[in-house]
Amino acid sequence: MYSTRSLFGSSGIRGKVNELITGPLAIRIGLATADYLSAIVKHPQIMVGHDHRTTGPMLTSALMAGLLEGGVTVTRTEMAPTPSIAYASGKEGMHASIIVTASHNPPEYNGFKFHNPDGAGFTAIQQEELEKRIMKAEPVDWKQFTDFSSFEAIPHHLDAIVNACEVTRSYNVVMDGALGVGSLVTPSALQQLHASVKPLNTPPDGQEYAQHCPPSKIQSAAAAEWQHFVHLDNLSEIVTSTKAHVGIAHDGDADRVLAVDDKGRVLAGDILLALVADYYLATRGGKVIATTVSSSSVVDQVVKQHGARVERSRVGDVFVSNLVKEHKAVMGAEPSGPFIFPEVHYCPDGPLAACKILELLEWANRSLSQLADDLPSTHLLRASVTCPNEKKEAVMKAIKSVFEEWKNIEEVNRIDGIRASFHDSSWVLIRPSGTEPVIRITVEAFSAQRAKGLLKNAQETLKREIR
Amino acid sequence: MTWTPCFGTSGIRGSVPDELHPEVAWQIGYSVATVFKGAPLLVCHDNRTSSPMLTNAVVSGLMAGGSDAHYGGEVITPAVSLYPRHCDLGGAILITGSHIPAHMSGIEVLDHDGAPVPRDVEKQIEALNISKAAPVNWQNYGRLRQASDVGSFWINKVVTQVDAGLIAKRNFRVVVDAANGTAIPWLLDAIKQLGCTVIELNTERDPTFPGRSPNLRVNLLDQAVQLVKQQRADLGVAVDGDADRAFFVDDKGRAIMGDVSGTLLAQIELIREGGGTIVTPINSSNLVEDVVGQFKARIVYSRVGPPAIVAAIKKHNALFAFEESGKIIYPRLNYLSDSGLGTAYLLEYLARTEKTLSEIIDAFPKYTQLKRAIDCPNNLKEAVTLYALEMVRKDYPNVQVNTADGVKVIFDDGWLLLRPSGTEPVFRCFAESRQEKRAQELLTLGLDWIEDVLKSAAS
Repeated sequence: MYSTRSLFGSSGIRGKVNELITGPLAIRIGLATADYLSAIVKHPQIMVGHDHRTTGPMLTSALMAGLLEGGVTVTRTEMAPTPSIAYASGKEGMHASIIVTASHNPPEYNGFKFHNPDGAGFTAIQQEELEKRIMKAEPVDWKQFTDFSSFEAIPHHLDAIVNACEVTRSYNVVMDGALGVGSLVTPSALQQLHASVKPLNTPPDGQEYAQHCPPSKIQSAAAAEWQHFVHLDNLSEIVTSTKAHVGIAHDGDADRVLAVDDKGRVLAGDILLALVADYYLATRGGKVIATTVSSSSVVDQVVKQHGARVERSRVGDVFVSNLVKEHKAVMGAEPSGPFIFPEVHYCPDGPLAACKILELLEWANRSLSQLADDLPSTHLLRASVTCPNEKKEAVMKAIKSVFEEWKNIEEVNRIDGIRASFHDSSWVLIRPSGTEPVIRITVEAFSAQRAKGLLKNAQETLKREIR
Repeated sequence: MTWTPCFGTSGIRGSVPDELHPEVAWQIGYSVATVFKGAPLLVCHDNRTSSPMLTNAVVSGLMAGGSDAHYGGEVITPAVSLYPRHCDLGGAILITGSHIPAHMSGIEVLDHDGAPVPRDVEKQIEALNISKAAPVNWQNYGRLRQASDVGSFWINKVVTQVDAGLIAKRNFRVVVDAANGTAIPWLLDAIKQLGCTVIELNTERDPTFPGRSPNLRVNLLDQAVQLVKQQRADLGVAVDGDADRAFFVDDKGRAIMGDVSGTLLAQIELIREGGGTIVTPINSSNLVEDVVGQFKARIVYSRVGPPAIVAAIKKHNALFAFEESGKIIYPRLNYLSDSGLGTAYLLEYLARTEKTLSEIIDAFPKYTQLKRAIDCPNNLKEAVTLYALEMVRKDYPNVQVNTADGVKVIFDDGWLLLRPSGTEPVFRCFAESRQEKRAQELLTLGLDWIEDVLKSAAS
């Protein structure tokens, strides 16, 4: 049996199939969701679907059995990206959607993402409501069992993307589907926006997904995060050899985007955010850009130039979505690549972000490498220090008082770990990992020396407190 | 956990959701996939409220056990049992409560030939439900396929067995009582495609079965009888919830007993094929002896219940089988009862002979068949059987006795069957004769034997 206390992570429920994630658990999740929705609306309707993983159809059917047992009418989509299903569920007037996906995790993983009709992921409160129902939700009376129907989500999502973008020039794009479901939407969306698309690693393939990606030679935080499921060196090489304007990759369920510039360099999500934010604030106005505590201060630099501000949430796209909503931000994103454009929906949307990059290029009338090079260059370093889980809380408390003694601190943000920013725009983030016995450190500064010094200082402080 | 999923005579049945619920159904699917070694399986269901939910759970369990699930949607039982043989599938799982009350359902497992799986396979599935097999690796999960042509494949098969043009020429008017069940639209469409005008009865799809019970008994056919008379129809057809069994009403508005219509369909089959073996359970009317005696035919009496009938069909390579409950089986096409095939052959025969159904039935010898059920504790059932055998030996040493299922005593002018129910604390007594008085005598004789044992146990 599973303990119900720690089922939800920052992005729904996720784990190894046949271990945490099983058919019977999916049935209970379905029944719990039904119970939760029934407490809010009279005849709940939900859309469900899955990505390319081999275990997706099994888990989706089990989930549906639980939903039907709980009296929720179910619309089942074909295999599709998370943003396609989340978008279609809102458009079709559903009360929620559940996507069976483990996003970028290895293929033996799977999980469940829960979205509201506006596309935003379930809030922490909603997740708690589900979690407490998982062991005790009851089926409805036999006369109230419900039925299901099938639906194609992708055409609706495609229409929404194309209607929300305007590109007149014809760009050359290399699109790496990474054997995930992104290739079901993005190439077609880009082509409708006049791009010429060279697709790599399509169609979706749950057997081969993330099986043949060697470690990347590119040394960067973005590369480190994406190399497990995207063959980055290959993508980079094809972008340069075909003289493409941009290379695009998505994670497994395509709620994230990764861009490779025309020089074959992998751009971190927060660098891309700074560029897109610049474009959005310049063309649409607006006061707020939303991101997380872990993203670069380059974003702040760009945003400040427009007289707007940056709002930061905890790490996790659900938190960014809700921040976008709360502050009526013009857009939001995380360094790991989820981009939220609220004029379409609040779901992180990889295909939509890919199209927005072309819009950006046309507006700026410059190459992606030029745009990236023009941003203030910063030095972002990451490290982690081993710390037993039971010590984390005490260590974080101690760090807080240490920080208060540091000089030149402009602001301390404690939304997720401790993020201290200094007057020279450098900052340090100390954050206990939710999954491993480590505390992570991120530092950023405009000089390499300053960054190294900050990192060393943080590491030493942490080690001293952990002892 | 008081309820354990066990196979009865027609799959695993239980009330929903307290006994049969998605987690149980998932486990059954998983066990079946394991026993079938990951072979692709068809999954279909009837029109009950619980069917979509149980079907999704079974489909999921199959995929987790490594089988591709070919989802065929809501179709009638004979369409499901017809399909695997012709489409190279490992078998089928059918989610249906057939004729049982609306809050219940069942899961039947069919083999690659569409016949119910043998008892030893059922036992393996039951054992796995308890022991729980090791999960398959994520790479070996089954896929979900669509089998959207199960119903249309069946209609086509039914319609092409007969001379549809010949039937159409007669412009038959047929009352179809669909019991608000799964027969809608499949059986209606098949009969329409045979060129008949269908007069609809209980054809609003409704899983609470408001029109009549999803069961099939002669006394449940009053509506069909009335409508046949009122509409001056040529034929009435009434089916159970999942439309495997069928009863017929003749053009005079008389509901026909299941063994009488079964005998007629056996006769039609023997005319078509020139001879063959007919299987029927031991409680069927002697009428079949009279009718089939005119052909190069052999009658094999089996025990009551679908597994025994199918076993006898396979063992004797039977041409046709029927049961008084309305089961009509054409083994060369389908190992389960097929209301559509039976109706098609009957219509073709009416068209070819240019006779009315009432004329044919009136020409049959008349039998009186009486049935009675007596409350009898399970622990006394064996005593009743032994006592009956003893009484026969003592009082009627020269009559023929068949003990395949209970005790059947076959006299020159009728027969008597004493049979313990397999599911209830009841002993059944059947008696039949051409003379009503003699049938009554035989029934009384059998009832007396049961009473004797019950009385001596009470004293």
